[in-house]
Amino acid sequence: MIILFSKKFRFLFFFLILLFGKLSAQENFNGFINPAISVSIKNETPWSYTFGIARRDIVFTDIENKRNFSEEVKFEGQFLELNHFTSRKVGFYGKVSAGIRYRFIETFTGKQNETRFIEQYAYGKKLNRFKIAHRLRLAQRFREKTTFRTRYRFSVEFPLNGDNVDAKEFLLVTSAEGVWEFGKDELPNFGVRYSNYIGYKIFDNAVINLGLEYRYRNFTQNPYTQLFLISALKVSL
Amino acid sequence: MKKLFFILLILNSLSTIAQQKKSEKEERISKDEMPEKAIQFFNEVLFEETNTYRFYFETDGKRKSYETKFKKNKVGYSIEFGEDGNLQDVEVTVPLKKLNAEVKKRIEKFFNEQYSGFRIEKVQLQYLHQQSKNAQETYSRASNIFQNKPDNYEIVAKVKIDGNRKHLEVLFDASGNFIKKREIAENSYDYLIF
Repeated sequence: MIILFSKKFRFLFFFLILLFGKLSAQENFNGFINPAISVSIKNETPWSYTFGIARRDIVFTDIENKRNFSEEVKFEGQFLELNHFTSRKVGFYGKVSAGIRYRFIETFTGKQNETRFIEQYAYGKKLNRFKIAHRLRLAQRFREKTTFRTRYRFSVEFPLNGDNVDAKEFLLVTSAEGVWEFGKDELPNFGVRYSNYIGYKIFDNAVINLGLEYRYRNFTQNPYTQLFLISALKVSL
Repeated sequence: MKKLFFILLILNSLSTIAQQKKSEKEERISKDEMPEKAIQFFNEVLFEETNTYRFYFETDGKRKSYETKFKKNKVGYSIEFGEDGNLQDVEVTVPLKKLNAEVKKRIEKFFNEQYSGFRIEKVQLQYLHQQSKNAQETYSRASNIFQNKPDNYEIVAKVKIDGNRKHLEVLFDASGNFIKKREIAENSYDYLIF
């Protein structure tokens, strides 16, 4: 079991090293931490509700032509976010959700707080050992300017012990996402996001995640790169 | 700290409620961790069948067992051994369309009558040890699925009932008559989609 485990870890580390190698060659780079907690409430009806809280800080800003770590590494709060989704199961594997997100930005950066409406359809299925999930999401972001967003994400979960992820077992999730943004005051722009994280199922209904998300944004005009250290506790009741 | 302990306690008790449904737990092990008798059977009968084997330790409520899984001719085999290493049953995973037409019809009729909709996700042919003379015979019956009728059919299906959907494991006899069913905890995708 240990040998198996380490083989998968070796693969992950190899991937992460590749990622870092690529990043160091790019300019316009920010590193973030983004811890989040969410609680889903389910019952015997097709309806479920999710409540979440998250915070984001910049921890690293790349200053061009300069290798000064003490200047580059500093904590800058970005926002504190509250969110809620109401979902309903549709069909055998689908779920539609409507959500609202409020970001307290003003206290951190002086910019206007943001309200975001989200509509999404997700499809999750188990294929042998793997869980796959498709997610199509529409969002309307109301801040100084109004931005519309369409995004699609595909995720796969690999169990690291046995065929299912049971309590006290590890899992690996990898996902790829395409994001298209447009609005009255901005040119349409495209971005991609890849994430890899390790999860640990503490109990049957609670998972903690730790991993990295790499975002390459606005690559049609002024590309910039962001790397997120994502950490989350997700509980379902 | 007290608060954290309290939260963990609540979470843990909620997970215990969830376990009243089917709660199989499978853990990957190495061949050497299997009971001696099972290793012996493996060496004598299974070893030359293929070269990709996986070994598992399974707990299902209080029941403990060992399993060897492998694929042969694109068909998945799962051989279950008791704690003492005696063979208990052989399960063969096949596509729904490979089922005997009469049995398939009966199984589908059951789901049609009981639920407002269904999707069959997994079909397993069960060959029970008590129906055979010895372990070799159980396996040999199972390795020839087209000639030997299974003792039971185990079906995993998603069903719709009262506007909600449920995940079930349903057992049918050799002729496709319903024997029993139990609910399986539905896979959660929430942590992948939010």
